Amino acid sequence: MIFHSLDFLIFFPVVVSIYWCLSHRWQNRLLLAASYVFYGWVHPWFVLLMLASTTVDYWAAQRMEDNPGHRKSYLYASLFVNLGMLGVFKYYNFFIENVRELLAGFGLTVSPPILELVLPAGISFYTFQALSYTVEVYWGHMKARRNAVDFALFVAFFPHLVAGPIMRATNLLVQVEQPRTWNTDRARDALVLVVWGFFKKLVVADNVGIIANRVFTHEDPSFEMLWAGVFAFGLQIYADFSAYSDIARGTARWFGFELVLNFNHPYIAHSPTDFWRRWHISLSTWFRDFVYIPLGGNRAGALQREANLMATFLISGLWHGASWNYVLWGLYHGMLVVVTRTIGTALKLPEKWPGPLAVVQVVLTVTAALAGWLFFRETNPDFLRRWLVLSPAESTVMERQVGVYLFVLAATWGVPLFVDDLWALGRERGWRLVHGAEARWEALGPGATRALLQAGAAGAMVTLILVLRSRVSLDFIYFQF
Amino acid sequence: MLLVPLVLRPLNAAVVGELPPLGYLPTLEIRRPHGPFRAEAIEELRAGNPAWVFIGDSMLGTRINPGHLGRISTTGNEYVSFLYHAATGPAWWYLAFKNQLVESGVKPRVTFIFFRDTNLTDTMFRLEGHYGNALDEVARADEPELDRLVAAHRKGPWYRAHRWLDTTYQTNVATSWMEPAIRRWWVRWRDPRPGALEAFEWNMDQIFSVDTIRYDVGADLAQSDVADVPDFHRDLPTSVLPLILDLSKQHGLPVCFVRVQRRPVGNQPPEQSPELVRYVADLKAWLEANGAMFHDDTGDPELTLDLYEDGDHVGDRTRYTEIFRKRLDPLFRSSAAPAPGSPVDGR
Repeated sequence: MIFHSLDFLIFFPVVVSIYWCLSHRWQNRLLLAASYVFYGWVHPWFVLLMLASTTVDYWAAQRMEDNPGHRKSYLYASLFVNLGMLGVFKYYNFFIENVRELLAGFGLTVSPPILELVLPAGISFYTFQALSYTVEVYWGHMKARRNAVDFALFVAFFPHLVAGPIMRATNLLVQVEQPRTWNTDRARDALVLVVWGFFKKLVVADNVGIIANRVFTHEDPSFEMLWAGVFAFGLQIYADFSAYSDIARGTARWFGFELVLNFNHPYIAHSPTDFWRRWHISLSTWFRDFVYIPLGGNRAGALQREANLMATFLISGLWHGASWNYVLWGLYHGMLVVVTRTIGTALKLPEKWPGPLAVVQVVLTVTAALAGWLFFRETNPDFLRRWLVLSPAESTVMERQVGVYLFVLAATWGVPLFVDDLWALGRERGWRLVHGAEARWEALGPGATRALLQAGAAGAMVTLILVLRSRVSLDFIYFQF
Repeated sequence: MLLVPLVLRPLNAAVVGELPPLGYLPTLEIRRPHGPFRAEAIEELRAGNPAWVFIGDSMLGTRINPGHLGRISTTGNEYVSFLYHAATGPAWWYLAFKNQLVESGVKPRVTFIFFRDTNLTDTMFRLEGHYGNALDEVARADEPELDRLVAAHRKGPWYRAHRWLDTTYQTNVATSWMEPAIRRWWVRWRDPRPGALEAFEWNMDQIFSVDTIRYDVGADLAQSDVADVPDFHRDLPTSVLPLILDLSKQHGLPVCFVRVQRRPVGNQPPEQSPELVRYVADLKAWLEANGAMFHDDTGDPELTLDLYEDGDHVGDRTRYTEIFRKRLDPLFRSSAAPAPGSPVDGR
């Protein structure tokens, strides 16, 4: 089931209404059943895979505790099942094709079977989430859980199931186990967050997505058209993915849960390192804690640290998809982080440049991050090679104009994002206007004026959704991962 | 929250003034400005008195070269007429047949309608959004028959909700001025001279024409809708097919439906699922039982991959036209209209 569907518009209020009439134990049971219905709506067999992952991790964690002498074996069992599922569904064909090409390079012709499998939506998200639980139990950070329903709900909780945020057991599982209470103010805040998410998805992401799709289906775009398309995609993926996170966080709040912030205005980052503190935070922290730090993290020498970083970014790229362009994208960002950090250390530059230079720093960072989306969006290596050597000198006047037009059009659709980011920048940098407005907002308290203003803001967004939503409805980009 | 969108009503009144009248498909659209009917097509048909008329979208436009077909006909000098618009669907083809060909009063020996796989019975295919604008050039002020078919596809609660929103808030009207304002402000600001916007949009259309779609995407598009094959007999009553055949019989206009072959995969014809094979067999049987002709390109050994350009589009129209002429030789040799339901394949 997808959020922007009639099915969900009926499903969600029905589940919420019943949910708040039940006791804590039955709330969890209902949510679990609802989560399986949500996940298996189109392909019921997806649920079987999730059940497999859930059962193995539930069992492995308990066995680790009951049989400490064989803790490692049970951890391996969990890793084997979770990563094995990912391997089969996501990476098998990629691996086979690369082996075949490699052998062909040596003159050997082999035809191993290619699997015609549908990639189960969200498999990369819930397997990582479930894995984090067994690893945390292995490390002794938490006790193994003995309530199967609670644990299954932790894995399957539907608001964030398909595209995150990836929640840790230390956070979400604890919330599952605690009784929750209804809070009207919280529900109202959540509604505004959900509407903002739908606005970003239907008005911003889907409209700029059309521009990106037009450019990336063109066999011979000019330099300006190509980079306008990359810019449009940069806006699309941010609006699209952060929209999903906002809708997930908002809907979760209606059930009394608080999911972690997944995007913190990444396009106002002042360095590539800062960008990764703000972009897909739940995945970045997952890789930091479960890959980078176990590899040695900052504890080893400088060279080893950079190697660990590059390895982490490479794996992160591969996590996104079984294709070399994602690996390149990961390496590109790894290089950005390593190079800027090395230059910053060598020149003894402050982390945040002072005064007006701060704007230059943000613009440079965002330009570099946006340029990287070319590697992410272009999955065909032949085309990617062509795009990387495309020159503005080859463009005709009209192609140049069209490129500029597409860029301006994408920027126009992106205005709500820019305003939101600018506001966040003002908050971070202590702009008086922003702080004053926010102080007045806080002073309103939870009264009727606040509720009226929230309703007005949500109403304005609903109006714009009704009028300006894209006529072409695109899937959430991260569904494919 | 739900009161705020009501602001659209006074806003529309201020921007648009008097609302445009309801269109010819009231079920589908609330109100939008309509383009003119293309009456010249009728005059062109009358002036040319074509031996053959072809109706379709880019599947036709990238395959048949009308001049060349006229030259390689039996007499070497036959007039071939096109009622063609890229990116159209069966609703457009039906209206062109009814409002242009039938109204012209000409009697071509055969009218060919080109289509892909299951498009013929998918009335809603390319009917909504910007596709709907193309329909204006073939539609009259009222199209009750087509509207009835559209209504049959728009019965669910989702559509009722949409319609309620459009009626209550006038969202369609607001979209009709707000969306172009966003899309065009920069072009208008850059060059406010009359005609500059149209010239720019024409150039945009050229730069992003279907011919520029890259090969890998075209191939993907060709494969993307192999699945989800509908049941022919279920869709037939809500399709334009019975309407076209009624007109054909009423006005003595023989029709031949041509199913084009989609892009081959490697050097093999495209995949045919059992559902698709059954659909096409049902379609053929029904058409022939109802006095129409049917020709299927699929599996033709001469329609190889090198003939194709992007997706299902053919690059070499002349070669395709010659193959088509050869395959349907009985139709092109005869100087009289063929008997209803007669076999047409010269293979």
